[in-house]
Amino acid sequence: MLPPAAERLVHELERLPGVGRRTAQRLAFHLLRVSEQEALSLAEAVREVRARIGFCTVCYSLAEGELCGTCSDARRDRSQICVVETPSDVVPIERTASFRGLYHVLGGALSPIDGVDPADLRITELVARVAAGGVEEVIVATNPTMTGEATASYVATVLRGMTRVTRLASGLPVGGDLEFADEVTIGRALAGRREL
Amino acid sequence: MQVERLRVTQFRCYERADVTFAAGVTAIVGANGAGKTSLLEAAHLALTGYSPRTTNDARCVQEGAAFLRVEAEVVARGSSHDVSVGFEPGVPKRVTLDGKSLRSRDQLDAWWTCLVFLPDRLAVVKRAPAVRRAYLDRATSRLEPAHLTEVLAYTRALTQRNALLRRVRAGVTPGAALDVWDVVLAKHGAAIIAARSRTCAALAPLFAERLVALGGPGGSTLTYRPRLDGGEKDLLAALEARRGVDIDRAVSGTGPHMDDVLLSERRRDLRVYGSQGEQRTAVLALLLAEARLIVERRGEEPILLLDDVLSELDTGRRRRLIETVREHGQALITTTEVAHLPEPPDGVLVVSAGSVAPLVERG
Ligand SMILES: Nc1ncnc2c1ncn2[C@@H]1O[C@H](COP(=O)(O)OP(=O)(O)OP(=O)(O)O)[C@@H](O)[C@H]1O
Ligand SMILES: [Mg+2]
Ligand SMILES: [Zn+2]
Repeated sequence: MLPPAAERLVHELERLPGVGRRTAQRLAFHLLRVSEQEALSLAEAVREVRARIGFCTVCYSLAEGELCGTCSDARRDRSQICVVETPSDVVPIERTASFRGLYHVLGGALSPIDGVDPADLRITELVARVAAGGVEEVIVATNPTMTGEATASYVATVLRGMTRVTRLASGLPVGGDLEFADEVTIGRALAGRREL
Repeated sequence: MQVERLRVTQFRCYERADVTFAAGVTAIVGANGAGKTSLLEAAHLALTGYSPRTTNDARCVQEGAAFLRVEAEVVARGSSHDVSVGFEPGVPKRVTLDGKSLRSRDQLDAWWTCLVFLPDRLAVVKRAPAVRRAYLDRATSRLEPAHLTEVLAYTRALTQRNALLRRVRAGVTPGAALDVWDVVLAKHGAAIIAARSRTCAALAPLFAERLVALGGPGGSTLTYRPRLDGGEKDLLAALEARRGVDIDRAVSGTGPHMDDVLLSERRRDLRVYGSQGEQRTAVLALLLAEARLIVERRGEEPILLLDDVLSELDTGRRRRLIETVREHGQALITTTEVAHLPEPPDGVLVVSAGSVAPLVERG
């Protein structure tokens, strides 16, 4: 048995996604071993992120203030909206530096078994943004999972006739060996092939 | 393909065993509980990465031992390969091919095929449609690997749609939310129906022919019975038409999850009218038909692992079975008595109390 305060820390860490009991204990022991300053800077970072970061009032990605960095950047192309499931999905797309439009974070994907209905996602908010005008293309970049696909087709349905809706192509990972790709990935890449 | 050697460590009743196999038919002979089925199971585990007997690999580890290992030397597509499968409870299974560790055991399926008969496979003829669907999906996946992914996707979509039906019935969600799930279900459902009917169409004539070769009276058929035949559009229309009923019952009442396969002989359903021996012969004919199809499609014969196939069969059928199997390629057949074999096999392994040895030639 651990002393109550240590037990509480383990318990809190265990609630994090992907962290089991053993990992939680390892992390807790680590925090007890490092300098007090180092351990407290983690606590401070958690406190600060909660105090300062909220959701962008336009696209619902993370924002320090009313608008996120993308929405407040005047150079971004306002005619394109890229729809993603979670705020963290914005990061890999931004890293490509090839998308210059704005985002819309749905806050999840449709999944009846988890009790997630259309009303639980920010879909009305997306429709309102498109209805406000000036949007020429909505690029749906939900995950290539079943719930992501279902969400994509739901979004396409509600936006039908309002604007052009496209779906992110999925295919072979660059640098990946064809030999080691699974048949689904190869099948998708085949279906999404282009003229050379 | 051919399995030339199998090495077994701490597997079931075997502390250690090292056996070589003849081309053609090898009989594995021994008393009840001697370890015949276990040897077939070990061969299957080494070749495919999983046991045909249990999904709980821990049961295969010899009592008191910490881990198991099975290794095989295989000749396939003209070259030799070493495959090894190691398992320790609580640790992911390790499958290596020619010294390289595989990401998933499914990768072995690209190299060779193993068809197995265990007495519980009689359920394919005897039991409920679900067993035949599972068999048909396994057979289809062996011919078209992408089928397995479709089946998993369909199953997940079905679970989602059923969950949604409950929510709609409870008034939590509007019925229109079903639209997208109907589309997903219809897409995967249509792919499954198409693949299953391709398999059945290819298997049917071979099944009829094999059944006659095994001593059946002729006139046997294998017919795919989809609950709903058609493509994506038909499936979607059917789902929409049933929506009211489905909401009331909170379950999806149509689609490939309700398909069946009819096996008949002399116009009679083998499930209902077949005798023990007839049902057993039908399951074996199905296995041999699939073996033929695999040779046609992949250019290489699968290995046959036949556990306790000879019981319930009369001497005529036993003789025909062994002849047909020998014609086909390599097979391992277990039996309690060598005398049950109508003709001398190409090799005999005698199993007793967890040890295996080739039968020493007399004279
Ligand atoms: N994990 C295990 N560890 C040790 N022994 C086991 C294990 N699992 C099964 N056994 C034993 O292995 C022995 C051989 O079983 P197996 O099923 O191979 O026999 P068999 O020769 O096929 O018999 P039968 O003719 O009755 O089918 C049995 O006595 C069984 O209890
Ligand atoms: Mg047995
Ligand atoms: Zn924003």
